[in-house]
Amino acid sequence: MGGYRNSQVGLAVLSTPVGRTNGPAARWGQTRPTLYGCGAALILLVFVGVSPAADIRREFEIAPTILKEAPAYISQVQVPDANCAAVSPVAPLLVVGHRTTNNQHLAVFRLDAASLPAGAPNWITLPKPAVLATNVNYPLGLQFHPKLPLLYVWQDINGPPGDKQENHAAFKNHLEFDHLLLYAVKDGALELIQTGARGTGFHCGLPAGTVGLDAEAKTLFVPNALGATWDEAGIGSYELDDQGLLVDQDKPSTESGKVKGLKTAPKNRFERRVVLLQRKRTHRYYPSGAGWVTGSEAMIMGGYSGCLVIDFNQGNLRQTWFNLPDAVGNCVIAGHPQAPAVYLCLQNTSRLFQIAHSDGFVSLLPQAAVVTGARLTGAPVVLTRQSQVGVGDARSLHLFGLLPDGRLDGKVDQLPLPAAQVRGLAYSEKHGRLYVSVDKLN
Amino acid sequence: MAKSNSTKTRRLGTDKDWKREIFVRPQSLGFPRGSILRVLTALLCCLVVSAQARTITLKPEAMDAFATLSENAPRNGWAAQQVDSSLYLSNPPITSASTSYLLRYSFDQIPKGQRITHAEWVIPASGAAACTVHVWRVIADWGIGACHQYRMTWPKRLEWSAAGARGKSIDRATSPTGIGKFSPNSPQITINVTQDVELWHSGASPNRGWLLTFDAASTILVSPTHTGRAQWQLRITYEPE
Repeated sequence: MGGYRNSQVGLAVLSTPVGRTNGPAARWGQTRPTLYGCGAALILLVFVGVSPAADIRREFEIAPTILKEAPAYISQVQVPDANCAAVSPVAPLLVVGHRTTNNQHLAVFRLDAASLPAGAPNWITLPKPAVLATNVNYPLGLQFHPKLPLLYVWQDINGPPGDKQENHAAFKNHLEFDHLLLYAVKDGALELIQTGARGTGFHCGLPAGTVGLDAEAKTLFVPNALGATWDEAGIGSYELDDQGLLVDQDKPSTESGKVKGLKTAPKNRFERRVVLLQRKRTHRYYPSGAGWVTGSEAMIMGGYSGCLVIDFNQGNLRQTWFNLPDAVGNCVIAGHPQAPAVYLCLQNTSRLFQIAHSDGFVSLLPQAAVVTGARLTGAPVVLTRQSQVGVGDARSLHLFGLLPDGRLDGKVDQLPLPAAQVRGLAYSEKHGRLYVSVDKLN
Repeated sequence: MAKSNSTKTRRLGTDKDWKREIFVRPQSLGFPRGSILRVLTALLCCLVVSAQARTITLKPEAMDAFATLSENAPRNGWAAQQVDSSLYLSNPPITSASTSYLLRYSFDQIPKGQRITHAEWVIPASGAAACTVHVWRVIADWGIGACHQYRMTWPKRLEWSAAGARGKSIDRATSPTGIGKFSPNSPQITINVTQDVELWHSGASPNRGWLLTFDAASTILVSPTHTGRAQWQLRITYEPE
């Protein structure tokens, strides 16, 4: 059974200077060994004990090593204020979303044969109802289908306060807003083919939330649905057909053939469906759906102070909330594609957690890393080929080292970047490349 | 006493090699002669202290593995509190005849060469109802994916010999290490676990932790992983072998 070294013991040994110092400010390395010091070391060894260095501490604090140059596997693209990104596993496309008032919401980069962005991006404007023309809409989450040239986009829009939503009169105009957008990749460009997730079922004006696919890409999970009360979040799910489109539960699933016909309908080029939402109270707060990890038998969703495990028990959605020990706040999560590990970034703190999972069920106790001076933000991204997990910060990117089983290895590098907040991260497993959005290129 | 002093005097004055070892080398490092006495005193203190028995208290920070085994959610290793059939919470753990808990401590803090003379484990509850707790030493290895159905799923998928680690002499020891009883007037129990800790510390048996099983529902345990966890205490007394 894999175990962890007791962190307090390890830290005590590492932080205790052994020997007589040359003054109060003397540091480790500037001390002169004495027999007293040796005696102290002996006492520490006898009474505290030292574990093998190969053991992993379950909780540790570490100062990052500053990188002077970006590693070759990192590509920077210029998209100011980026907050989400995705790279297609089947098409040579990188998409970056950002919050803007000029209606250029998504930057679509074509990738060349070397998987590098080729030229300037094409920009996509996300749709919103005419009655909300003065409200700012913005992308929050991007998810490519694993096998099809299809992109799922979750967007939000400025709205009234939470207690004036749902059936409140002030929310009336927002009921026509579609949070979910499906784009097909055609000839290297994105074409909107379907929308959904609108009406009283969803909250508006939230800072996070994205979509996730189950292991077979047959169910799409969506965030920020309404819970039992205005401040309680829910989650929703949509059944998908074999083309990755939303199935209208009021009609046979063969309806997906309609998409082809939409090409000839210029006034309404995309199909809009009022899809019944399978909604469930989550007993937690907004935003929900802050990252999804797909297991073979359950889904894990990032949320408030931890994550939510969702599985189906005899056809019924069943939830288990896992609370992080001693930690409160919003968590954004990501999973390791090969190792049984989930990474939880407690937003705007210096803490990154790793917890094992088994087929989608979180397992055992989390590992906790505190990065000195960090203020971590956004979704973690796993760099499988490099055995690292990347997490953004203000004007920098942290790269945590990983062990083969997905645990943190206790090392972290920090790469300074020209971005106020580094949030637009996407990794291509196929090419072993990390794409990072910056405010301006060096 | 006089004999001893004379022996010391004679030794100091006649053994040249010994003199060189004690006086010449330290002086070459710049130490005054008077420090020798202090060094010897320090070493003597060290030996005296190490010869004494010592008691340490391991708190949940020393716990390196925890899992919930829930018959109603057989794959879920964190289904500690069942709110209803569709909702579970990880915290706080609640007792049930169909739910048990695996806990393992790291004994890194106990130095080698020590013998365990006594160990007792304080298991706290809040809002206790009448409930009997059995503490079992776990025999089977368990790890990532531990749940009611499996003892681990990574790197290999292995089931318990009987679901919920109920296989006596295979998954867990033949008989319980100890039995305690919560009641409204006794919200914590103390179990003597000396034999288990000694087995693990001596290496006679690998440390696979304990399994807690219950005979009744609705006692809320203080969480070993969240607020109030310091109430979980594993007190271990050891002395040099």
